[in-house]
Formats: sequence, structure tokens, C-alpha cells
Amino acid sequence: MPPNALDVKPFVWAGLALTVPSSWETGQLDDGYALLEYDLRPVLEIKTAVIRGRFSFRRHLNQLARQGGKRLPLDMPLASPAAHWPEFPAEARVQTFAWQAGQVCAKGLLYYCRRCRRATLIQFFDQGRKAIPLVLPTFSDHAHPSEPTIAIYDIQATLPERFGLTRFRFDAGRFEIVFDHSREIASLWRWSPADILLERQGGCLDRFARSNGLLPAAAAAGVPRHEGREWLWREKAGPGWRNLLLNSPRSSHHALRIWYRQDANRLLAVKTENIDHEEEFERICRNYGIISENKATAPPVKG
Amino acid sequence: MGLFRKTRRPPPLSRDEALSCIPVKSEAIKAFRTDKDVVRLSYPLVVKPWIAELARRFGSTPEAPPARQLELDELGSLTWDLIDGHRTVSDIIRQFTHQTKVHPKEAETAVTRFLRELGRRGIIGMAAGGRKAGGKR
Repeated sequence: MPPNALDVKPFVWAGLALTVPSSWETGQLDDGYALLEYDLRPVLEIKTAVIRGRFSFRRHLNQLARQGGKRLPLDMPLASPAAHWPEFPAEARVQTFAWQAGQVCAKGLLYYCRRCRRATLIQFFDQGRKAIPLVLPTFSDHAHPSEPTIAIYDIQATLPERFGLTRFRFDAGRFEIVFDHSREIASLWRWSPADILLERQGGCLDRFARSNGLLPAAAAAGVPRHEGREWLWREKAGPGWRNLLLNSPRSSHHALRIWYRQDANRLLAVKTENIDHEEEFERICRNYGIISENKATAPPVKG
Repeated sequence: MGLFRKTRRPPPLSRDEALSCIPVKSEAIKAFRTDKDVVRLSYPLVVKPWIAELARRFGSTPEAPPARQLELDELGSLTWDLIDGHRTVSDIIRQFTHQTKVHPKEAETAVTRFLRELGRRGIIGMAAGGRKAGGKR
């Protein structure tokens, strides 16, 4: 694996951002949890939680250690970062730890940001420990509007800052991620392998979208573009009772775009509901894609 | 009271051990390629011994045990072709990832679920593999 500074990709989940070697793959995701793997073996695990009340390294380390994913030995000795650890921002309080159980060993840290009151446990397993100098300096626990909202598995997307992640489901072959803000909803999908899935629908994206429940049965016909490799549906709804009562003439837009990325053998789709500005749908589509095409070349700015 | 003592189950395999197992096709399986270029398997139906005995007593034992057919889809057929008695589960996952361009995690989930299903039907068995899952890519 030797981590090469140029061969990296972004990883963003649960408000945390990192740059990791491109050979590391997402292994498991959950609320405030991520496990990255290299060659089907865990290399990096992250657990994060917002802290209410007074922060304590010992108490919150044990709390995060017990929380989902891989369990850590409790009551591990903690130490201040030695000289070989990268430097951390001034608002961060950091304690490091190391443990070994059988053939598995890990080295990690508990990172607490005073500004956002978030505690994050980061631990590198076995081979992953060699990548600490490359990965850790890129860690950020504050969202930057210019950075992706998510960069997981092979997809990355940037959504307007106001949107929050509400639902996600990662099944083999089908990913679904839903964000919302008030009544606005943005849903992202990704399917793979596209060639086989499309062949089952006679190569038609319209039929694929309908059979996967992306559109109501009575939805009007979409508009094929790029020789049928992309389909688009748009609907402009009236201002609605809510806006009429609020004396607001705003109308909302519903839109769905599904496209076939032949080079990556993936199908991608974006659906927005009740979005006030049509351009926002275009922006979300533009910023949603396959990670391999947008490899990070420089580590993101630290938060 | 040894008679009533619970038989201890062997401890479950670790993920590494499971990935280093080698799937082996049962000799009783017949595999055909259909016109749609997918694999159709014919495998003997495993009947519980007491049902087989009952059937024998009532004289309805057929000469050959009843067989079932299972048609695999494109991805199942690809995985079936990758089972050669030498490749480990992790080798199959890597090859599957390479050929279908799916994400390695998706390949792992799909392949292991498929192998488990074949194993449940007695179509394949698992031989202990010697290599670790984290071998060469």
C-alpha cells in the first residue's frame, strides 16, 4: 500500500473530512461511524459524537469505544501526542492511545474540538498506521461550503449547506442518500453494474427510473438527452396552500435526472422536491459524481 | 448425563478465515449454459432421512433422487465460473470486482451472500484455505 502523497482521494462522512490513499475503500458506514478498509481488511475507523456537558477524555473515550463498530479495550492508557504526531489546531484537545489484542494492533487518538464540541475517535489498524502522517493532517471536523458534503464509496456530492442528511441506505448495487431542509428534499442514487441493470430494462433509462420507484406511475414522459444516456423530468408546482396562506407567491420545483456513466459502469440519479430555485437542482447534479474522476490533489484546508 | 449434554458448536469463522476459504463445487451438480448465456444448475434435492425412509416404505423411491433446477443471473453465472476449486473467496471477490467494475465492498457483499446461498442448497462446499485474506491484490 505505501501511501503516495499524490494518489489520494477525499473521504467525507458525518461532517468529517479526510484525504486517504485511493486504495482505501469504504467498508462500513453508520450514524457518526465510518470504517475504511484496504484489501478487505480494516485500516481506519472513525467514531464521532457531539458532546453535551463537560468533556472528559476518559469518559468520552469509553463512551465512543462502546459505541457501534469495532469495540476497543476500555480504560486504555491515554497520553499527550508525542513529537512524531502531526500538529493539531489550537482549538483541539488531543490524547493518543495504542493497543494490541492478539494479532490486531491499533494506534489512535481522541480529538475534541472546543469550537464545535465534537469528540472524534480515530484509530488506524495494522497497515493503516503507516499512513498516519499522510492522513491525519488532512482531518477536518468543520464543514466547508466548497468541500463535498459526502465522499464515500465511489461517489461524492456537494449539497447546499442548509441540507442535512436524513436517510441513507447502502445495499450492494444500490445506494440511496436523502437530504432535507424543511420541506425541501434532495435524494441521490447510485446503481452498479449499470450495463447489466440497464440490459434488464431494455437499455431504457426511463423504464429503469419507473421500475425503481423514482417516478410515480402517472408521471409525464421525461426528456431523453445525450442519445438516451440521460433522462430529465421537471415539474413546476403552484405556490401551494402553505405559501398562499403565507402570502408568498413562490412556486416549487420537482425534478429528476438520471444518467448513465458508461466509463464507470454506474447509473446516477438526483431527485429534488419542493426546491425553490431551479438552478439549485442543476448545481446538485453538477456536483454529484464518481470519485475516481475528481481525485483530491491537495489536502483540504484545516478547520 | 453425557447423552443430554449439548454438543458444542464450533466457534464461528473470523472474517479473515471465511475470506480465505476455497469454495468447491459439489460433484453431483450439473451445470448448463442457456441460450441467454447464463448458467442453469441441476442439483439433487436433499431429503430428510425420515422422509426418504417413508418414501421407500411406501414404494415410491425413484431410481434417481429428485433434482432441482436453479437458473443464475448474469452476476451469479460470473461468480459460478470463478469457482474453480483453487480460488479463495477473497480471490473471487477481487476478480468479480475487476470484471464488473463494482465497488469492492459491494462485490464482497454480493459474492459472500451468493456463496452462502449455494452452500445452503448443498451446491458448493468450503475447503479451508491456507492464505490470509489480505494477500496480493
